[in-house]
Parts: sequence; structure tokens; C-alpha cells
Amino acid sequence: MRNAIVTGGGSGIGRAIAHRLAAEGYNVLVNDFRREAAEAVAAEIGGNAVACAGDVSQEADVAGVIKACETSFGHCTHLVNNAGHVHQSRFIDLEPAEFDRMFAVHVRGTYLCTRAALPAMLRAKQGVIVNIASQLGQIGGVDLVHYSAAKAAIIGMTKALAREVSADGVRVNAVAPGPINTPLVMALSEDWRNAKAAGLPLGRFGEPEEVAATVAFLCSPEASLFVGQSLGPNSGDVML
Amino acid sequence: MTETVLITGAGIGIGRASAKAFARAGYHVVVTDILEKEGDAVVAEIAAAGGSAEFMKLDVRSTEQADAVVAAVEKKHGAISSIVANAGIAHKVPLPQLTDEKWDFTFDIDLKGIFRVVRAALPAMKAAKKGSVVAVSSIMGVAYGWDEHVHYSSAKAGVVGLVRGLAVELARDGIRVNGIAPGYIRTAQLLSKEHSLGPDADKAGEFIPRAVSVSPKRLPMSSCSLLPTPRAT
Repeated sequence: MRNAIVTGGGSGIGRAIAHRLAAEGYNVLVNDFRREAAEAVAAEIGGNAVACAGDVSQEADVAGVIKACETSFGHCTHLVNNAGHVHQSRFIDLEPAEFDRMFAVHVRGTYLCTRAALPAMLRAKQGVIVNIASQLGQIGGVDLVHYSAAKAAIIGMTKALAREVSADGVRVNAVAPGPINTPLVMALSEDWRNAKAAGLPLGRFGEPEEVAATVAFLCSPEASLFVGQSLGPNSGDVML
Repeated sequence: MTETVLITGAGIGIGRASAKAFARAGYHVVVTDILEKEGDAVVAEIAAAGGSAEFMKLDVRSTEQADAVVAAVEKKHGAISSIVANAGIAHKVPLPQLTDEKWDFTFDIDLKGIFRVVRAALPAMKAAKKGSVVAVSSIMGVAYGWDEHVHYSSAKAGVVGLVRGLAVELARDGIRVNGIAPGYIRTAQLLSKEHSLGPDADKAGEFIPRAVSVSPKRLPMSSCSLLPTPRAT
């Protein structure tokens, strides 16, 4: 029984992860704060997917997501904390509300979903958590101090929780993608995208499906030795 | 056409487990090692399981041998699609006893041995516009300091630089270069009392979060995941 929850599964990388895990036979709960987006992706997948709208920064919404998974499939065995958003601002102009929102979705959201899903995994002595960070959490990004800091926090959380629960059968890892062709990135100027791609060793951005492949690997038993790691599908932009 | 993988140090340990994993994944496996008996045994195991493999003796300290083995493989099978540069040694030597010769010996195998094999295989890989190289580093080269293994740790840290440099140099040719840095794996190396933790290896569990040292058979799929999926035609 493999029951995955993918938060932020309504578009981009989350959507690709939901599709990939479903194709591998997982039951998939597609969460998104936009109900229509979650439902559309669940409908695309078909039989083994359900949608559940909810804001991961809200405790009640998260409880609803966990409950929906239990009702539809059974307890969550694989949690992919993917929900996130990008907001650009010079640090000097960065408003506290934007800073707080960034941490609410990425850090508090990952914390709340993990906290809600973990007890059943610990009881089963088995479970997998994959947190979607970003290479900007490793190297930082201009006009993205709050985003970079939130993604770095996710990497720290991943490492610390992995130390805490791996001996109990729960593997916790992160994926730190580089530039990926998602709606968020495609919204940036073509000049920027061309210049960025030219500077990548691989010469191109990644596709959401290529990140999903990394997530699927970390979810699989083949990744049994990966604990607290941050894997980087990033076209060679960051080499650790 | 079957994809060909060349694995160095494939007679025992992680190399052997990798060879078996690649065979299961459908590759033709070129098992290379200085240990002929062990290499032959791996080929026999793969054949018995229905896989395809052959042994070629290769001391990665020899440029001549690396060139010859790669040329022979290419003549029979065409361009090598994947290399797992795994051959290595880890001798325990306190600094006062660490002679230039001992330092160079370890570097010649653990670091320069990777470069020799990749360099030999590169022209055909480039012409084929595809390929993948996985170089085996170590947790001791990327995350920890290991006393009385300074030459080993330095060479394994050097593997990281080699991987990064080659990755940038070859990416546009369709050749991906990555490294893996395993932790405590239950190999003859780890269980050597003379050179590593010895029979007390499981005590490592006291400071490893996952709490066990694992058999090398648990490792190779992480190498496979860095390589192209074999395509049967």
C-alpha cells in the first residue's frame, strides 16, 4: 500500500510528481490551495487519484488533507511537501507580510504537513518524506532573500528530521531543483531565461518531469541509503 | 543495441554489486579488476542469472592498459555508454609513516585511475553524443575527516573536483558526469581490521542515524539512477 500526498500538486513540478507517482502505481492525493487546479490534475490522472484543496499553512486545512487521504486510500505512506510560491523583491523593499507569507507556505506548511503525516508512518515503522527545496536555498538568489531563506530552512529541517526519525523507518530527503520550465519560471523574461540557460553546463532548463523522476527515486526502496540528502536536478548549475 | 557499461574494481564489494545491478538492468557489463579470480566469478554469477558480462584485467594505474581495454571493448561493442569508475584502495597509514610513494600509490589508483579510463573512452562517447560517467568518491572525501587516511581522503576529495570539472566540460556533448559518495558499506575494505573499522564495523551504527552498516547490494541502484536507461533494439 503506497499512498502519496503531493502538496501544491495542481501545477508545475507538483503536477508532474503526482502524475509520475500515479504512473508508478501509488494512490495519489493531489493537494493545492486552488481547488480547480487540484481537481483538474486528479481528473487527468484518473482512477487512483483524488483531489483535496487546502492551504498548507493552515492547520485545519492540513488536517483535512490527511483525513481525506485516510478516507480515500488509508494512511499517508509518502509525503511530498512541494507547495510553494515565488515572490521577487529587493530586500530593502521586502515587506514583513511577504516575508511571513513565504515562511508560512514553505516552512510552516512543510512542518504542519509533516507533523500531521508522521505519527502513522512511525506507527507503521515505514514512511518516506520528500521536501521540495531549491538550489537557491543552497546558493541564494538576488531579489529572493525570503525565498532563498525559506528553501534553506527546508533543507535544514530535512537534515534534522532525518536524524531524528530514520532509525524508526522513516526516510526524509529533499530535492533542490535548478531552473525548471514551470509556469513560474516561464513568466520571467525571455532574455533572462536565454542568458540563464546559456550559463548552464547542460545548456538548458529542466522539465518538471525530470524533477519528478528524482522524487520518484527518493520515494522508492532503491533509495534506501538516502537519508537527509538534498538531490539536485539542476542542469549542473550547482555542484555539491 | 545493448548498452555497455565498464566498471573498474568490479571483482569485489561495491564494484561487484554494481556489476550485478547493471546486468539486471539489461546492460552488457565489462567487469574489470586486477583480481582475475574474483572478476571471473562475478562474470559467472551474472551469466548464471541470465545476464551478459565479460572480464578484462585492468590495473587503472596503467595508461597503456586503460587504453587497450577501452579499445578492445569499443572494437567488440562500439562506444561505451557508461563508466563506473570505482576502483580504489584505502590504506591506513599514520602521517609519520606516509611516504611519498604510499601517497602517490593511492592517488594513482583512487584519482588518476578515473581520469585514465574516462580519457580513453571519451572520443567514442563524444562521437556517440551520449554517455554517463559515475565516479566513486567517499563520505570521507566530502563530509568527514578520517584520521590516518589522509591520502585516501585527499584523493576522494579530488574525485569531487574531477567530477565537477568534467561535468562542465562534457555536458554539451551529451555526457553526464556525476559522483557518488557512499557512507559505511559492509565491504571487505570496511571489515579490514588493518585498514578500517574491522569486525567492529557495526559500532558505526552508534553514530549513524540509520543505525546499520549495509551490504553493498543496497548501493548500486543509486549508480543506475545516474545512468541512461538501457534501450533494447
